[in-house]
Amino acid sequence: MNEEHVLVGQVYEAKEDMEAADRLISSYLPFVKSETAKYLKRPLIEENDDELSIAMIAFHEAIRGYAKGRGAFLPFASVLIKNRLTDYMRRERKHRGHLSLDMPLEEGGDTLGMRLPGQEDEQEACDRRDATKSEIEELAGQLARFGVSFTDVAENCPRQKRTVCACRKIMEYAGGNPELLEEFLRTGRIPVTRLSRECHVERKTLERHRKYLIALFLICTNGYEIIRGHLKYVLKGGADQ
Amino acid sequence: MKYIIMECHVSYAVLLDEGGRFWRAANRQYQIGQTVEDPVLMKESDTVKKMKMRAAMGIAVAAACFLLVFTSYYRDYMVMETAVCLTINPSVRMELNRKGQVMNVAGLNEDGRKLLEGYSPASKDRLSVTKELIGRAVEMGYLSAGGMVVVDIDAPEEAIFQRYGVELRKELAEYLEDTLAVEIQIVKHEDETGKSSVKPEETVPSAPKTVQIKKSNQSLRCSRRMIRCRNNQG
Repeated sequence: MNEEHVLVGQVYEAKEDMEAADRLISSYLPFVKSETAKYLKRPLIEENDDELSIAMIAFHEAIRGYAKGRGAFLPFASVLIKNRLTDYMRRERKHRGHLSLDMPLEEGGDTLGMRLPGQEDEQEACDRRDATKSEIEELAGQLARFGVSFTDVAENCPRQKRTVCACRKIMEYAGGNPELLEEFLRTGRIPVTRLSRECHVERKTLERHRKYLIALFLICTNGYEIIRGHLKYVLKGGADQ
Repeated sequence: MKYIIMECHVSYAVLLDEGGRFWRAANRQYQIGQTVEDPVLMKESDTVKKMKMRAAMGIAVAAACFLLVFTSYYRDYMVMETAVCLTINPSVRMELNRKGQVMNVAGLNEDGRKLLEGYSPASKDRLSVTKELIGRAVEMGYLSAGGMVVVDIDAPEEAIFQRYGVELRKELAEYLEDTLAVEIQIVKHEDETGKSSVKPEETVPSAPKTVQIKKSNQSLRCSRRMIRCRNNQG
């Protein structure tokens, strides 16, 4: 009973603090593995099992969605893991019969992806990944100055189509007004009043998605060519995909 | 749709899609900077949705309760159920709600309007208003010894007619007992076609013997009781 009480306390702490969530997930990793193995009816091959990743994110969803009124946490998490694995299996069933590019063609040999013509070679992909990584790390550092992490941005990111469009409108406007970005970098503040007036977006929307807008504004500033290249469609004012 | 891995945690990774949206997804041994195409995105917590649903439910329940209470109140207090006409000869019509309270009084003739001048029935029950109107009629000289008071009751049910008839006769008899000898007639209202608006009931409560009920147009006078009250001085 007391253990359950402690666990519930940890879950509530993990809801607010991502590091606490990581700690809790790490300490309950054997539980997640056991639930996954029970579902798959086979032992896990940790390196390759996507199912474990799915189970872990389901455990994370359980942390976020848990409330005291829903009974004990572990049975709740167990149900969520099973449901998520079932969803995943159904999705995977659609791709059954398709070959994976990462599948080795012979014992210890090349993968299918490596043999296909026109594919980026490993070195090129590695270089590109490193360049992207350094941009991301720089962006993460800039975000940290505002006390924001990518997890915060993901949490603050709009999901409703209308709000997403409003944020894109703001991003487009900011892209066309470099002085606005300079002011943002200098003061560390989003010019909410001006953006609201110029983009005809409600002030409330801007304030509600402040962290997300900070990330977008930083991406719009110089130095993030790869990320901007990834978002080129949006930066050109494209509609939702 | 392509996604760039922005941040990796034990249980999840943060991804940026080409639409500029950030997502949390299952971390399938991803590395920061990697581009992926088929991530398993985290389902957003439905807490906000549920909170909105609960709020909407609460509002709906509150509205339903309000409607129920208001409907009940409206039906009981604001809709006229019974009309009582006092004919002395000033003729006055009282409109009663379901609770028997007087909603409105109106004079049906010139004397009736004079009788009601400066009188308000606000928040009074039918018996008080009837007694006060009779008192005013006596004061204004419309009613004297040997006179007659006809109480015409237009009730939706026989039981209500019986109950109001018994009550009014008893109260008026007691009220006038020591002052005047008048005849009191309780009659059931009938429209021009001669039909009573009272729906016949199987079980009609029997009226006490002291009450006489008369059906006016059919000349069915059940009984007539003369209340002769002795004047203390006379």
